[in-house]
Amino acid sequence: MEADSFRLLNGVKAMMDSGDEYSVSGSVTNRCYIACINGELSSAQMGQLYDEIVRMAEKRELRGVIMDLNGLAVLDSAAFCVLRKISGALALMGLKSAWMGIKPAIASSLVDFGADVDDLCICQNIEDGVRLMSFQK
Amino acid sequence: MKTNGIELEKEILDQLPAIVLAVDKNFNTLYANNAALTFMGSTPENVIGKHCYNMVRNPQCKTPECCIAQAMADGKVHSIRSEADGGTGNRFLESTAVPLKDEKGEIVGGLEFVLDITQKVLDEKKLNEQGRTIRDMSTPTIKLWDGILVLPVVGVIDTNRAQHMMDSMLNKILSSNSRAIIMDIQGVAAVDTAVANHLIKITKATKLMGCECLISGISPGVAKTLTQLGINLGSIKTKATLSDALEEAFSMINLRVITTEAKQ
Repeated sequence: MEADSFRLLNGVKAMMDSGDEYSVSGSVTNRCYIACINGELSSAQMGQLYDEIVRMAEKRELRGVIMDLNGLAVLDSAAFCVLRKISGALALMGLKSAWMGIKPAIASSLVDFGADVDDLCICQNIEDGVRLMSFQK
Repeated sequence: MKTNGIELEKEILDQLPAIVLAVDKNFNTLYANNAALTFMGSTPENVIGKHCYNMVRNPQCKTPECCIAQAMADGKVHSIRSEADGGTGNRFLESTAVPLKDEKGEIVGGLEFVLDITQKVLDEKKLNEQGRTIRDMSTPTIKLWDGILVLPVVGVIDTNRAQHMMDSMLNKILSSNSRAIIMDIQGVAAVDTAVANHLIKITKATKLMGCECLISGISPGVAKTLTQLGINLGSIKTKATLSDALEEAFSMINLRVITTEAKQ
């Protein structure tokens, strides 16, 4: 009986762990990685997202990363900070980054809580983003 | 008709179209006028001395929201609005309860009178609807060119309107994939710190949607106030007139206006 419940507990734990696992879905076009960020992410998943994008940037010799936020219904300050950090890290690595598909509700809530959005690079669609990336500064 | 005494008062109360109901501290009915009896569909014998909540059966009955209970608890006047299904469609009722006191001023019960405010509520609804229509009319986001939107602002900007302007602009940007939006504030007579903050917020939000916001038509008075208030609009692109702003917007989407030769 005890062994059963122990196994059950382990199973649940494994399931929860695998639920925490996060892999970015996305594709590379023109040396630009388009990362689709879907659903609300826990802080652990946000960390994984950060690692994954930065690792990808190094491995694939990218020119820039477009973060597609179309799948996000809400964006809290913690998630916003992580996304900003990703942009900052990419800039340090010499890559350009652009945010794409911010919803009206997210835009108004971001300015309402006074997020620093001044130096962000925003694009409306992939075509835009890729063009932004290919411009030499 | 009696001419004096308690009977006369009772008759007057009975002819009142409003429901009048008096109860003691345990919610036993002491008095119900004719309108109340009609509402409950009962006779005086079946009502007097019985618990009021067994006959009225309002959603508020026996809950802390019951206004008679509130009035008896703190000795003040309480009002509540409710919706009841009468024979002729939904009626809106406003119940007001006051505590009944004896000679010593101690609360011995409660008195409730109910007014039919259906017409008032309908008028309020109509007023709200008209308010919404005016608000929608006051924030028209117009597509001026492929990729260029314009929002002419006339009148006073308050927090509500600024929020509505922002929502309307952001949704329009999303649906039209616009690159530039011009906010023409020529019709705005006065600007204070709050309004300036709203304008800054709006420009930031539109930028987050991938659309540059230009402000045109800042009048001398408004410009003077803004500088005197010490508000820094440095991050916002401002142009003198709508046509200047339009030219700037054209250059943003790589268009240029040229003069063609006159026709012979």
